[in-house]
Amino acid sequence: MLFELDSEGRSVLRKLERQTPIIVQQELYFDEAMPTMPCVYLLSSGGPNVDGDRYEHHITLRCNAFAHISTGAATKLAEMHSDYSSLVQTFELESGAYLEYLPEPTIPCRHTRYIAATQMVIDPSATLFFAEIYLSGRRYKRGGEHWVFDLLSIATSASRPDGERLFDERMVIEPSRHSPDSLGAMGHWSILGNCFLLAPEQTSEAVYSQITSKLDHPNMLAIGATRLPSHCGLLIRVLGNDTATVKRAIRDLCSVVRREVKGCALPDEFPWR
Amino acid sequence: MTLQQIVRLLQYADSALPVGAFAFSCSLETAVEQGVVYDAATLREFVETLLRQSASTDGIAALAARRATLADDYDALLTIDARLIRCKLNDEARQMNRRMGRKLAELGVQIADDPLLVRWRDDIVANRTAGTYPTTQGIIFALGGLDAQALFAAQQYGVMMTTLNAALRCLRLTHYHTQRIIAQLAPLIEELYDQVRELDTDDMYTFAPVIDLLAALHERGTARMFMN
Repeated sequence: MLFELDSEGRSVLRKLERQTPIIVQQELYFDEAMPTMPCVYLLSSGGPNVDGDRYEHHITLRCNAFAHISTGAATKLAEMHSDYSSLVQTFELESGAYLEYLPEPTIPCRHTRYIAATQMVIDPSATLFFAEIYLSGRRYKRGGEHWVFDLLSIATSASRPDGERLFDERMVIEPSRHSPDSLGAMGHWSILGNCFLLAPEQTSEAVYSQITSKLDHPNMLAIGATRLPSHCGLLIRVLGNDTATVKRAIRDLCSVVRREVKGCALPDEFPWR
Repeated sequence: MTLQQIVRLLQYADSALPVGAFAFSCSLETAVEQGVVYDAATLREFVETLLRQSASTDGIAALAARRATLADDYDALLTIDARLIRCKLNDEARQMNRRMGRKLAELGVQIADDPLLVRWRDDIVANRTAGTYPTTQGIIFALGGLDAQALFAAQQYGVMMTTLNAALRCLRLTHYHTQRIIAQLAPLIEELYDQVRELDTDDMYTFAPVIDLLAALHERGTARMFMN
């Protein structure tokens, strides 16, 4: 997908190439706070990710373009017996570009093996809010699945257009080797919200000052923000046990970012999401 | 291992080595403040998670730095150091690594006047490299003729002792408790060494979201006896 500004300053989805089973829905301008921003849902018509699936998303925003991208529903990772499934994502943001990437949660099943690799190339003046959510399993399946997948490997890295590397993270979760329930790993939390804000230092400092890091047991929510290497932005971990609570917290964080960069908040989420 | 080497290993692994480890708690301070760690059993589990995380990041980097030093490959040392600091996503974890690494390099130059170590120290001071603690440890162990197992044991022991010494000041525990934890976790270090000994810095991985979160809470927390 490639977004750019048209002659009237509206951000448009200029180029789209897709391969079955990925569906990219027609861009819609439904965000009342930002009526010139395209909102795009990525869907997969192939059902859950199965052994051997190799998905790729490549998303580029030209100078000053802006967009909001999500997925239509949770990404289910099926039971796997002979291979693994993967997702490779690249985000390229040119100067002044702005992207909100808020996909629905990813749900691994029993014996899932999944590798996700995300590479962000971002101009120092651009802003990317990237937030993914991982559940511990299918919570209502056969009495509830909780950390019964084989392997999740989630790699995220960022660099500047000139090649300067900013940070690298690789989370590997292998429950049979070490229980994610361990103290210090996930403890008693079962949902991981993994958020990266890449933005000019002034923006990320303004956002940092507005985030209250907390371990809020009564509301079953934990949020912690820290500065990433090379002054490139923030890492924000959100932990919870209820998907809606984590999603709401992430939207609130995105709203803080949008207010800093675009001067307006996120509208309320659709009641059916 | 010769007697001299054993003495050198004891010296480098000693928690009294003047690199400032006493100033850090590896997020234990906040874990105690938040009620996540509150007795010997929870402390043991917390330290176990720390060991696992540091084995697959710092441990891998230290072993790679030792190999690079033996191969006289200075560029590889710079690459390892840059790679390690890029995967330290918590601000205070980076500070701890840089401070202790620099102290160790300065100390190393005093102990052994090796040109590679002098160059390393100068590059850290001039901000040409981050000078992470594990990378510097790898260099010093290689120059001191100590093997990979000794290095890994010292790296892991350092994480344990930093946290357990902090625990004695944060929790109502005795030395008996902390010494027992060291003995209980020793077999794990053997297992972790087998897991990471053949890995390289591109293979580094971690998974400790709660510790990340505690580190974030510490940045603006009220309990700040330690620097992380």
